[in-house]
Amino acid sequence: MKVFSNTETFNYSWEEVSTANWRKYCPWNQKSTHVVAVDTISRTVDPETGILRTERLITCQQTAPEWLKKMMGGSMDEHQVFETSYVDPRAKTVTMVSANVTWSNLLNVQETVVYRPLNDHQTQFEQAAKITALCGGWQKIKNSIEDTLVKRFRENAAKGKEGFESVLAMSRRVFAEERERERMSLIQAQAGNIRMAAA
Amino acid sequence: MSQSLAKECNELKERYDTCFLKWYSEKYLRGINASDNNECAGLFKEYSKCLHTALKERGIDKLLDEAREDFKENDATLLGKKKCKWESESPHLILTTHT
Repeated sequence: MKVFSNTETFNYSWEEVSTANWRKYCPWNQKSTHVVAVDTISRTVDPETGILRTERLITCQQTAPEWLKKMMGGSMDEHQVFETSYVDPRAKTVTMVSANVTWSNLLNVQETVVYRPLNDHQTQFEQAAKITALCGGWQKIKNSIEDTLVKRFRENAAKGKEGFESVLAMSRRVFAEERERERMSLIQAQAGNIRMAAA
Repeated sequence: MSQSLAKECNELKERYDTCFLKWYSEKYLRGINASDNNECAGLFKEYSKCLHTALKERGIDKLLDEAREDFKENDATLLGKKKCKWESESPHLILTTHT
């Protein structure tokens, strides 16, 4: 088993980060292109705790190294990840737990991500992944598989941070524009009422 | 918004995602009707119907069931439901007898 962990800080409030997180893999993110689809399987609010629980299926497309493809006997290019996330609005945490759905008899990749506020303007991102090759055979082969995946995680994490930064920037801009539009239409409506009252 | 793994569900997904994001940012995070995710329920039902057909066709539905089984422990920890079944169920029982 190999472990990959990473911590980042985003200079945005927890509310902004937790909202933008739902569209982390949209066209605004041009870095995490290995994620090709994100589907919501189920979504509920727990009546006791107020925690929002979401199940998603994440489809990734990333070319695997040739030697690994040969060994696994498949293209391995498309794979799916099952993610369950928990938003606790009182404690202000987003916890996302995910595992691979494809190749689960050969590999076990488990990842946990937590977003929590550092202060009103900064949010911490904590990521930890456990990677275990399950296939029988030499430890040397298992080690190579695990090392390859750890390397992938590191590359994707760096790209993910960069991509999410652009999503956060775009989200802030779009929300500000929306608020401005709402404000303008409110002013126009009020002006209309005044004119009507005066007439 | 991101794509669906099934092209034919993209439009339904987009409509649901837009509704959800509005509810999440304007209501849920502000504690307004926070327990009520119903305003997007109709859109979710349509998208979900399309998605489940696609998952079944691809044989992913069975893999998902297996994954969900492995994830049960997380619910116990992260939803804070380590109480016994009776305790967590009794508030609902009281509510239903009054309505």
